[in-house]
Amino acid sequence: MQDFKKNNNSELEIEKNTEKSEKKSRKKAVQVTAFILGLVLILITLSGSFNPMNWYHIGRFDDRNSVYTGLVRSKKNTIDLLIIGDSLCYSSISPCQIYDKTGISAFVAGQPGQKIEETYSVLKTALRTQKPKVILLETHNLFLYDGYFVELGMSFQEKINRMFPLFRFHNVWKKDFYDNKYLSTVNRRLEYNGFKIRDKIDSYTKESDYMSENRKNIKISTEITPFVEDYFKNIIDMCKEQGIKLVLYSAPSPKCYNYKRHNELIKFTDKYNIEYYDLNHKINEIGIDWKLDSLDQGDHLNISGAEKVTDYLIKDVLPEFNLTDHRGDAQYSGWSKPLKKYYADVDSAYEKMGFVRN
Amino acid sequence: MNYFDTIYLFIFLPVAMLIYQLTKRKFRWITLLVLSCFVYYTMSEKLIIVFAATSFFTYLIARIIQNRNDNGKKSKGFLILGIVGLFLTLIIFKYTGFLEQNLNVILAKLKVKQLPDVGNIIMPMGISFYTLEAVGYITDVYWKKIKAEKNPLKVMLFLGFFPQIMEGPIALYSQTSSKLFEGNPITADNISQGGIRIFIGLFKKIVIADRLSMMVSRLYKNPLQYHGAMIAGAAIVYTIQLYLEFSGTMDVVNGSAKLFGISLPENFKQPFFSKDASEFWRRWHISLGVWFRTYIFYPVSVSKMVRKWNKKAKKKYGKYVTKLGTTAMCLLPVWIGNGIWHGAQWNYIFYGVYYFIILFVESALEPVRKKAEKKINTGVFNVARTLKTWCIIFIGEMLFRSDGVIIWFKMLGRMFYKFRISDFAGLIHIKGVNFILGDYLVIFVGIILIAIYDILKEKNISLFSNLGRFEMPVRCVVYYALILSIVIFGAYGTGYEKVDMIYAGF
Repeated sequence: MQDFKKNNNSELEIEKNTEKSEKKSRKKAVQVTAFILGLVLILITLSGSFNPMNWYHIGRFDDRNSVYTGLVRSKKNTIDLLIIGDSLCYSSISPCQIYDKTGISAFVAGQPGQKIEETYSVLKTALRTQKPKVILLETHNLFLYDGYFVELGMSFQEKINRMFPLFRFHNVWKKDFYDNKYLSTVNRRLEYNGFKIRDKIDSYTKESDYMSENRKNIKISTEITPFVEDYFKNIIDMCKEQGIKLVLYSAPSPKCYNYKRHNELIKFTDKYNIEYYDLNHKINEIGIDWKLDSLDQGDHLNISGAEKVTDYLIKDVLPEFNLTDHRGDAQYSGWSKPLKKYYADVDSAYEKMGFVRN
Repeated sequence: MNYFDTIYLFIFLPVAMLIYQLTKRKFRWITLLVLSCFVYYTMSEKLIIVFAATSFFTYLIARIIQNRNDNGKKSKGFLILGIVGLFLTLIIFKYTGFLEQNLNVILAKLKVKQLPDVGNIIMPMGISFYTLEAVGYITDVYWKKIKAEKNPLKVMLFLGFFPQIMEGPIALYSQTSSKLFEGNPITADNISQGGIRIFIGLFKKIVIADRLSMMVSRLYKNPLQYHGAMIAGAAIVYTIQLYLEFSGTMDVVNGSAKLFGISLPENFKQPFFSKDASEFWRRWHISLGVWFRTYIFYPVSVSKMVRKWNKKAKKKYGKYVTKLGTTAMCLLPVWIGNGIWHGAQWNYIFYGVYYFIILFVESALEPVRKKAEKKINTGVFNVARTLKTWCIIFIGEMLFRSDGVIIWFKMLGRMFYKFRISDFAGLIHIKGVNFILGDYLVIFVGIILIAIYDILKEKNISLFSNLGRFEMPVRCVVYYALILSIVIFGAYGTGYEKVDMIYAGF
């Protein structure tokens, strides 16, 4: 009888202890959940404060982040032509020149070394406040790929940046400690709608026929990987949803392009039925002189090369898109404001490079 | 994927913990192995085969030694085979290029045909770390300290446990095996302790070390353009960067392991409180020091050669000289080994020689130190000794970072040329470093906070463990402050350079 009582008591104790530990676990689980929710709330709140829509001076945003700022602060639904890509795009097409000659409102939303994940982020930001008729995507970022897990990491980072802009703009506080002189300087690239006036000559002097199939020793990757292709499909879908025409173009660059990449892009654009302009095959028509128009030995164009490419696009490409001429439209008066300063800066650039423009 | 990628911290770790917790207890070690193989594959892809082959080889050698031990047979030959096999693999991947370069220099001088260029050999991730662990493991089996593991997959898990594969710590089998294979459930305490440790590591690396890295890369790009305090500054800044980065990584590593209830050996114990170089190496990269002490220093100290010296030299030269001779004989292979282990470059080998000389001299001057200790005020004496040790550390790390021994000698020479304290201000005007006042403030405040943290640890006051006494809201505020400081002040994203983990390159 005593043994029976003893067993009963120890069973009850075990039950009590189990109940206690279950209660403790439940309490911990609630605390952890509350902690995580609290953190998410704080990140959302602070993301609001660090968002470029807010009152921060545009000078607070570094070159890379200034693209997002520029897009978000542009007057709503005024950009008809959005040019996007890496540094090749903001070195090759001048929106100011386009507006001056055709009245088409263009914006270059390119960043140095921009990969497809970032292109997607930039587009998502752009389409929040803009409804361009045409997106001109420079193709070099389709070949930027550092391995599946690296890109997966970057892709995840970009998702976090979109969900919580605090991560992208976390540096904005630094400018509290910056020179007032800097803060008063407008981000020059944004003033010219994303275009960068590049005022240096470093000639490209290697094989002139760099797109020929005889070109040897091609060491750069020539494949558009499935990872990039998946992102590209998302971009196509985004454009289809919004009724935007997506066009691909390759800026003149002997360093970045060759016949293999050209062939890969032809196959790619045929597969998705996308218009594609390879300007590397139009060097003579554009009038590129690699001795004078190269910024850095055939990687990017300088202002002279960019003006020629922009002229070519104005004459031979943009008319296909039937974009509106906004000159004279009061709503677009802001687009002509920077032109005087722009051409003055271009003149200074030519002076610095030591030759007179055509 | 590395330990500071958002994908590791916010996707991999939570998913890994969930899978681990959902696995039946007796199979949890297999889950850890699968996760480790996955992480290894993301870092080294096909070279996982080398790691797997090394693990199996280690398992096999240990089993053979165990069998022979059990049957009373000699097994030294197999131990030597194992050690040679393991180190040969390391040499092939890590030192072939270096050996080929230096042999070619000799062949050129002898006017003999040079060896062909072997090109760039990619090392399997963590080879320097797991090779030492493997050698330690088979040696412990030979010494009958442990029994050889019967399951080759468990050996693979011991060698390749994912938090420690990139930068260590170098664990002894007896230190981690039981916890790795026990399959204990994840607890709230483990998550709390592990999480805090991870965030401290992130703070050290992302907020401070990665900022300092930008200064260091510019300072060491063309260091001979500087002189005086700027050279001294380069030495100090790099040492702080290295400490924060490596110890920060160890915090993330230990924190990651702690999430699963596994305690890894510590690699740092407030090294800047050291009063001499010997103490420094008991507080800095501790697991490496333990390995060299256990598997090189002690075996050499009881070797025939040293015992012979002890016997003969005592009679001839007396205790002091005998002790110095013993010290030299035991320390030399340790420090040459230490230097070579760090990398296939002459400055690493000289780094080992540098510390051999320093430790030998410290040993030789020990009687002088003891006499001085009695005469000079202890507080003043200890401060002087600590400052002297800092100088030794800074100069040593300058050698570690410089682009060669000759550059280091020149930097040393230039350090004393036109030295002015006021020139330290030049550190905030380094050409090419686009920092603003805010960055320097973050560095300064960050270093002060870590210094306070280390001072409290030295006094055995664990800042974050004591938080458990406070209510949840108070704890939350502290945790949120730590996390937000990393998010807001971290040196990542635009305006900063991506910084590779220094010790992952070894």
